[in-house]
Amino acid sequence: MYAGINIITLALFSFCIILLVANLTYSKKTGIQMKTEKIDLKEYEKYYDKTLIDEEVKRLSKDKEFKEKKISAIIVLIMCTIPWPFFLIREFDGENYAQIIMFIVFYITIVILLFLIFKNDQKTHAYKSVVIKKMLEEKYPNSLYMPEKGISFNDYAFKEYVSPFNRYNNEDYISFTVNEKRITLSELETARVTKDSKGNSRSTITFRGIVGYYELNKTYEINQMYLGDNERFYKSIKLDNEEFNKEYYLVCDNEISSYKLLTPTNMERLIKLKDKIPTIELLLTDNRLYFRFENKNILEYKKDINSSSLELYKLDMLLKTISNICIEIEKELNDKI
Amino acid sequence: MDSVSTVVFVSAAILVLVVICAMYNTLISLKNKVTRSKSNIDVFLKKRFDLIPNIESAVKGYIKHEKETLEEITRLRNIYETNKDIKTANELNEKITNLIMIAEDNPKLKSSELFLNLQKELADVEDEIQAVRRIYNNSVNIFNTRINQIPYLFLVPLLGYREEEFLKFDTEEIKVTFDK
Repeated sequence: MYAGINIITLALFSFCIILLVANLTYSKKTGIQMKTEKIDLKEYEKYYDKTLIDEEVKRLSKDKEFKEKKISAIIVLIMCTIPWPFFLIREFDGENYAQIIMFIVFYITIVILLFLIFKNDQKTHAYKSVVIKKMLEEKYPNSLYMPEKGISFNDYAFKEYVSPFNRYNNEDYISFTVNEKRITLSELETARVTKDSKGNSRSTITFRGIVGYYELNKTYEINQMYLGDNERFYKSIKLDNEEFNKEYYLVCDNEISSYKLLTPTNMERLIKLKDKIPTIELLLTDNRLYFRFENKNILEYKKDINSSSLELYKLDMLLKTISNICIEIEKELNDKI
Repeated sequence: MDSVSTVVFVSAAILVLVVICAMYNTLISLKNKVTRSKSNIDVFLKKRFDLIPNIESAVKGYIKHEKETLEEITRLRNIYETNKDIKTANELNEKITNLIMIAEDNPKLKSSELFLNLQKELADVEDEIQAVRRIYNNSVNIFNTRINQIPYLFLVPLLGYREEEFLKFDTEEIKVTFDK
């Protein structure tokens, strides 16, 4: 019996450590390619205010939502560990204390991990609502930032074109105005959860990055045009530029219109865009220009002013690049279609 | 010939036949794409030339001294209607462009709403013609490449296919400016 408990304890302990290490070391070479050498970060330093962040953390620890989360986690922890002391007491021979020590160590580790997760969660929330919100409000008037929300599933038009998924998590909803038209974007993670013959669940992340759309407010003769790298389901249109055909997989309901829009100049422009954002995908439908690209999570808590300024600079560049892309493409659409 | 050899021979023959059929189908669909693209050009050229009567009536009152140009356009249009010749179409395009340029010099005409709408419509059709020409040239490129490739090369004389000619048109100047 003791051997069984030991194995389960060790397995759970190892699993928690692996999860923690995986979470801390996760990074991926994606997103917007930008030079980060010799950049002036001074203008972003003013948004970082440690005192305000700490005050927000304190406020959040008293917040009803966080309290409820904490209580739920503690209840789950207690429910899961209630049977263990009974087993240990029943099987205890009065001499071997190793199992009891191991159980206590495991329990304390879990409690510490939970505490760290909650603390980090509070800091991230505080950082977002103090630092990021402040920068967005100042640099992008009329912007709207909701850290808890994201682009709704109904607005995720790429779902018809991409690998199937059954888990949809989003956060960091940002909406701002360019040329009197709104650009809305958020972070998104989609995954496909499958079960094997033994009933074990397996989750495969199908997308992690930025997704959004630009309101064109005008009807074009193209109903749907997808430019990306997903070669599922559809027959693609090959244009008269080999390099473009290699970079983009084009699906469109109107071949003539796609040629009209994708002139040699525009194709060169889109090839150049791939250098800037290697994983960019575009979709024109429902009077909106949708975009998505893989990107590592940039809207997370930064513990010092330097790393915070760099991340704010990256976010600013990301929003500016997206705005430029949307404006350029809209101009071409209006000129050609 | 024993039964094993017969089976091998028949299987090989069926395989060769399947490959030939697949090659034949590919060539037919590529040839059809070229024909379809060519007829698309005709459709959009017709769309452009159908605007001629409107252009004529819009400019008639303003540029009386260009009576000869207007008559020449009507004559060329009638020729094109009968022979669908690409040379006539190019000549006609040239005359229409000249007429528009002359008309643009007239300030009264330049401010006429009817003329401005016609100009916009013409520009749209011009873009469409450019697009279908590119589709045609792309189809021709794919077709010509394929009929010169092995093993299609051996099937081409049997079908009587020959290389198609590309259309020549002014390519737009490529200026790429993405960074702002």
